Amino acid sequence: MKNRLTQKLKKIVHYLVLLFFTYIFIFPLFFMIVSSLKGDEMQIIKDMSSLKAFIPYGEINFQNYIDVFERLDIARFLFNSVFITGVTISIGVIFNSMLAFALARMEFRFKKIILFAILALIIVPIESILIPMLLIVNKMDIINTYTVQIIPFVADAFSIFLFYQSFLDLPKALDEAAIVDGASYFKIYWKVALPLSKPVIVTALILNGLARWGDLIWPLMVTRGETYRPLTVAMQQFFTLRPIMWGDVFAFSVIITVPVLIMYLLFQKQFKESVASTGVKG
Amino acid sequence: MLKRIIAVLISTMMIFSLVACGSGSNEQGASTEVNEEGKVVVNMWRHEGTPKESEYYNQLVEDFNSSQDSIELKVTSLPDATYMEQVNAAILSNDLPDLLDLDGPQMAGFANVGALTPIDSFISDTLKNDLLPSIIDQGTYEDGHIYALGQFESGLSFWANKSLLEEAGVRIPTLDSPWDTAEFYESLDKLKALDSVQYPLDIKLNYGTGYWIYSYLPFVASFGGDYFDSTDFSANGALNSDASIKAFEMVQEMAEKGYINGNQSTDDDFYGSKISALSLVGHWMYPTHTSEEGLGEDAILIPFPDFGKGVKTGSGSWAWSMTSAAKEHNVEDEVWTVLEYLLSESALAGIFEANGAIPSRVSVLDQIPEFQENGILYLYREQLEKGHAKVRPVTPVFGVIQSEVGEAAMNIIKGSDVLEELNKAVEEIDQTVEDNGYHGK
Amino acid sequence: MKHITKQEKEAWILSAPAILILILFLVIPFVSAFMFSFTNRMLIMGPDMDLKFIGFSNYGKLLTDPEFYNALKNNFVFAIVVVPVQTSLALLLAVLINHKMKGMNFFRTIFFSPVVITMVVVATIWALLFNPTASGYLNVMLSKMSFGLIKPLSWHHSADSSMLSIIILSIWQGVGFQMIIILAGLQYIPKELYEAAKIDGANKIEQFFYVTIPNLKNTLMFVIITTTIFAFKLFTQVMILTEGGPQGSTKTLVFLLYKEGFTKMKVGYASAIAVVFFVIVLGISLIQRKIMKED
Repeated sequence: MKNRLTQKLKKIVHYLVLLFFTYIFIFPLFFMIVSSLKGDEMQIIKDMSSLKAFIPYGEINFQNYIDVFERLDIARFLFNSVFITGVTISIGVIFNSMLAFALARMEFRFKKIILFAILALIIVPIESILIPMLLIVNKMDIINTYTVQIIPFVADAFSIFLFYQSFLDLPKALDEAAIVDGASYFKIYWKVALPLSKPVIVTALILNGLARWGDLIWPLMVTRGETYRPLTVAMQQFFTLRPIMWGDVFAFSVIITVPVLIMYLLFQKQFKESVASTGVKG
Repeated sequence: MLKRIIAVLISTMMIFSLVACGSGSNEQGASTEVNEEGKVVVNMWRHEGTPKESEYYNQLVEDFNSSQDSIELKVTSLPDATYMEQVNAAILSNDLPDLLDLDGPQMAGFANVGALTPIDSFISDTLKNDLLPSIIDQGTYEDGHIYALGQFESGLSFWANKSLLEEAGVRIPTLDSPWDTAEFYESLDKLKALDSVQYPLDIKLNYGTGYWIYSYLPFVASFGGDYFDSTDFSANGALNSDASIKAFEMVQEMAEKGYINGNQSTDDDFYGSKISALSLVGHWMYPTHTSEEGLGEDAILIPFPDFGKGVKTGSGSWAWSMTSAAKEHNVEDEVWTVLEYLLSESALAGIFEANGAIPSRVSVLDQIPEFQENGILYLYREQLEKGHAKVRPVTPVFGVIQSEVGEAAMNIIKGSDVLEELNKAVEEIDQTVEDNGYHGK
Repeated sequence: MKHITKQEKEAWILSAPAILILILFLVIPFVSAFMFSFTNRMLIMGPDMDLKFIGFSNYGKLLTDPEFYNALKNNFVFAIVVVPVQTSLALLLAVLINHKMKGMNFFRTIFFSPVVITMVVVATIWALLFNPTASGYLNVMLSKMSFGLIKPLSWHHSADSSMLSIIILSIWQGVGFQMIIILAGLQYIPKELYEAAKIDGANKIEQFFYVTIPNLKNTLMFVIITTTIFAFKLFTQVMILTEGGPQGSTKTLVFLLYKEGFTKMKVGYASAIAVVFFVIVLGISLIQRKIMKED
């Protein structure tokens, strides 16, 4: 009897704590959505200095969304962002995990140096290498294309390191078994390591994807005009007008944010797969 | 081992020289771009601006293209907030357009690195005489040549809430009879005494550091100071002159006494919550201020006070420049044709509708009711025509001046020592002048 | 020429694509920046400007510049608070939602959502929450929760509390990021270990300290090192919310780098900042790695 009660209580406390954190993390999102639905710009500005910012009242409509769609070629910018991000992280997952696998499971000259260099490269802030990068891609003659927004980011030091840490943890027994069978390392990588790393792959895809999705400075420097422009650059337009049309800004933000959240919700299922099935540890 | 190190060093140097020296090789070179119909192509960049502005320019481009057979005008619009980054990147990669617009004094930096082509030789006397004097000033570089001409000027003054002023018993000043320092403070006091007024003057701190170079220069000039001496190429003796110090001490005092909100993050103190009776903001707020939800007919313009050296006003806005690419493509004449069209009376007739700015030609001003003697925006015209405008420093270090003055001003408002902050700014600015060898042409 | 084993060949094939890209777009540019730091390079070199080698003078200027030390201090303060707090919070959240209970997907998404929102929007929303008046959202909340003990703060409008504001904003926005990395790490801990511990009589808390933490070592180390690096790279929030102010209280090294390189156009000097930044952060990461490996 007592056990079931304490169990129930524990569950309730658990949920309460979760709800507390939910409140903390959700209110800006909520504010964003609520404001994007307020048709009256003046009202949004007025509400901004009080709690009314979180309450949907007054003119509730989709006017701001209509404004955004009318003013911008959203379809194109959305496509550009999706395309660039999608291609970059897809190729990236392969390239990055391959290198990480080699570093984690194989022996070769310069391995230590490369590993060290990768860690070091995470440190380099992109602001410090923008100009040389620009000069390089200019020489390659790929300014204002999709290519220039994809290629430099296909290899990502952070992702590599992420995969590296995770591959380190894979039991060595698996390698040895495969080698005895005469398999090449590539096969081990493809058929053993990757399938076992679903959670890490998903994590890498999500984090890398987010970074690329929100990239602003680089596309700014290498695109000219609207053809290859991504959403982030297009969004800049809403921040210059005086007074800033917050309704439009928030509508745009919702348009950029919500799809990514939905994708995340879908991808999450991967996290449910616990690796209890491997069994072999140590 | 040593061999390896040397090899690495040499390859590093080689790579570096490949990257650093010279600009990219681009297909263009020195050929004129011609389209399928044999028309000469002129590439134009503009900052996007408001939807109304975009509409206006798109129409203009359409009209231009259909009105003649020899030139095709292609326009690309870029977001405002990051416009300069994109233009700089284009210079680095050598793919500038033939014609673009730049915000006021930014022209100087580009003229200095040879990215622009002077246009004096193209300007007719009729045009020159019809343009507002500040437009010419803003577009003239240190070497005496004109590199930019604007279709419009900006209007900067105090917007005032008429009813609040009347309620507080404050006299409404005119350009001929402005407030002096004493009356300015008196008025602020009276306004603050009103129940509904929390901070009499809305100074737009929410605009960030970049606003000070434009909004506060008239104050400084009215005290007799300046941000930068364009003949000496130095901020020393200008930004830290006694007059400038006094001007910044005043803004510090205003923050201390609660005449302005030192922590301002809101935009609508004047037109929304109405806790301010005066607003230091320009013509772009005209629609909002005079709207129904704003102040309607209560929104009026009053001139800056005269702090000793006369009433000054802010000045400057976007202006069009011909680039070095135009020279490379051999389209200078064509670009001028476009420019001339942009500055024509017919084109300028629509600019006020589009962005509420002040058309740069007097002949056009005469056609617009708001700018006639009893029009609500007459003050803007009056101050510009009568030469009250204080043009921002037209120098390549303009960006640095903007950044340093802005930062100093924000710190001063928070209580930092005025002289210290101004001296710091002066040092930074002059150091940049030194580093770049900007000693004029 | 030493004999290359088959394994080495394979290793190179696997590594080549990523390494090539990294070299071309990261290493070479950084080396260029390194070389720029010894020159007087400006953003755009005018036709009558020569690129000159000026030796170590950029470094000399930098190391005697109080701005540099101010930025360094700000970065340290930020890192010292954010790294432990954010990591612990992320760990807590990950553990809380790593259960087979209903609604976990929902909570996961909510906790992660701040990471997805563009920083510009995040900063804007927090700017309004950080309203310094008594009716500002956060001030009202704090006052209510402390029964009026906590007075309204000026948040990012005052030099004293501005760094705190940036810290809160950053932790709020970043904790989801670390959370999902830790979550992935949690997935690798076999259930059997927990069951074994339960059988041995360990309660939930003991299980946490004796099973979870030791098995998360690599993940945690990764998270701590990378979070430290990102803490030093702090830039966007500062750029948008405070512009380095008030009175320089939130200026960071990367912010300094950006101002010098892009606003003041002094690419040579900015590159020197980048190099010094790199060395400092690298040193810290290495020290961290050493300390944690010995644990």
